Amino acid sequence: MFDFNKSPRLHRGNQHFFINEEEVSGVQQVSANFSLPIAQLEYMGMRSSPIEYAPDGGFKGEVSLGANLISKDFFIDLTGYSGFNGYILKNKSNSTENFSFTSGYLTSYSHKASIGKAPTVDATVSVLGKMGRIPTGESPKVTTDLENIQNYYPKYGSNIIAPGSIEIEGEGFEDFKSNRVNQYSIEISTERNPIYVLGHRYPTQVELNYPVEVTCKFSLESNDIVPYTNSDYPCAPKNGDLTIKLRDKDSNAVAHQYHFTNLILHSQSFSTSANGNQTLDLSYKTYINRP
Amino acid sequence: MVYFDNCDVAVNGSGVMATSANIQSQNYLDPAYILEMRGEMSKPAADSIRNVLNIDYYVEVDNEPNIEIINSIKAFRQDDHVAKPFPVEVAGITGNFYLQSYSFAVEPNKVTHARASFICYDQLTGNGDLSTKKKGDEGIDYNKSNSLAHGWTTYVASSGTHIEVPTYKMDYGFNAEYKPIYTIGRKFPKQVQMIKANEEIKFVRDKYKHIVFSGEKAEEALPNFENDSEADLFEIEALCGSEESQTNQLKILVSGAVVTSTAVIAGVGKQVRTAVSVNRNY
Repeated sequence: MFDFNKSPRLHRGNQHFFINEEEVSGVQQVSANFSLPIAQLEYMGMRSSPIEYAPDGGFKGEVSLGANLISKDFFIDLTGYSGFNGYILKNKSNSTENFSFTSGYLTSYSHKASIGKAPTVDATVSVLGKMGRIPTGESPKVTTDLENIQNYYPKYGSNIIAPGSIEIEGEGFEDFKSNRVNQYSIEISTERNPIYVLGHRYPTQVELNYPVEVTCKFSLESNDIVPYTNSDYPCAPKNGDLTIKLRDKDSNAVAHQYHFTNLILHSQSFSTSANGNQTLDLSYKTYINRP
Repeated sequence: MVYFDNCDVAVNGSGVMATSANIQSQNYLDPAYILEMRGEMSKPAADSIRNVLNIDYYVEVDNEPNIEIINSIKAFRQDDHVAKPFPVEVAGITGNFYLQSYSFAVEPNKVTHARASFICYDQLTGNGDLSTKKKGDEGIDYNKSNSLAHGWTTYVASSGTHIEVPTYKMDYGFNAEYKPIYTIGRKFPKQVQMIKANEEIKFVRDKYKHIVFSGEKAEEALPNFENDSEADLFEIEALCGSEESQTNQLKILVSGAVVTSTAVIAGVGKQVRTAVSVNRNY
């Protein structure tokens, strides 16, 4: 008889997620998928010929991750040019049994915080290299990463961010202090353009599509904030520079800081109801050009 | 009713993996008007009947009858000027056709497709009843060696510099011009002469080359062609390492061609690319 209590299962205790050679802390979930570029060939006269397939497109995989922001923001630095490898290991000393990917590029980043919850980061990664069980000698980079993982010790202490220790400030955002910000989010869209050349299966280069769009959304319970009037655009647009500081709730030291310039209000949603307070949802956008 | 999977397409006896094929027979009529009559008097023939056949198909590196035809045309002018037709069949309709244009584009991540256009000056043959179950020859065998050409296994050039000097697309084109010779009393030409033919190959890259003088050689304008002036199309299976798959190949020779145009192509949201076209005449 099969004993389910003794059957091996992989639970969170033996799942470690690494970006290059650094373990990502606070991970809540990782899901990875790929589809193969297989197309069935249809041609005239094919009747009783065997079904044939041919590659049609490049290899594409996607990894989506969610993490609580409890130490470092591992993903904000990946919104730039750099690609990276990812490894999920049962334990650090056994790198052979891995589920991994190479040539991962962040395509979306989302950071959220709201009353009553820890700040979270969600990221989507486009995988343009290999995905699955990857041999430890796949490339010099993979070999080095997996060797260093075996000796990895966390470099970053944990920072517990409470909603009360988040500061939103900046020119144009002064009225956020006197009105209750219930939640905010920062979304960065970093679409990639893989460059393929003849004679190669994988992209030889991956470009970041500029300009990069940044969206900052806020939900406020109104006190003295004056709702924006659409006809004020374009003569008096609502814009400004924004800084968000997340402080450790115990030490009050700034653990994370985000700064965006030239944010401009794109949409506003005003709502009021019998069961709650008047709220204002504001969405700002800015764009980052190629440096 | 004949469905596509029961409709054979063959060029010079070899089945090609066609995705579309059409034959159009054209009467060239010129309405004759005369004084005294408001309407046309009759429809005299302005030219002889022509049959044009177009085929789109997947390129197989060890079964490409049209490249064989092109090679025979390229060698042909040394002998005489009488062009040789080749049998082509679509859905049981056959004729002796002359290849008038052929092209393919090799792009990354894609199976290579070719388009061939033929012309026939003679009467077509075959049963035109398409209400039967099947049209074609039982003997035609398709995809004999699973040797599809693909962007993954096309190397420009073959000396290992295809990464250092990347090529983003390669277009190959061949055109031939024929002249049918008619004589009084014959509905069909007595002979068909080949007047001229040319090959044009275009490479999309990211290095611009100024045209310095007329007659500049391809080997001088294209960086990695100095020592190795050919593009090689291998079958996809070559990636899997079998020895046979690595020997089956189509070679596109560039040596002897001269640069006809260079271009810079730019647009919002795209990388700036260059295109160099080289040409050879026969």
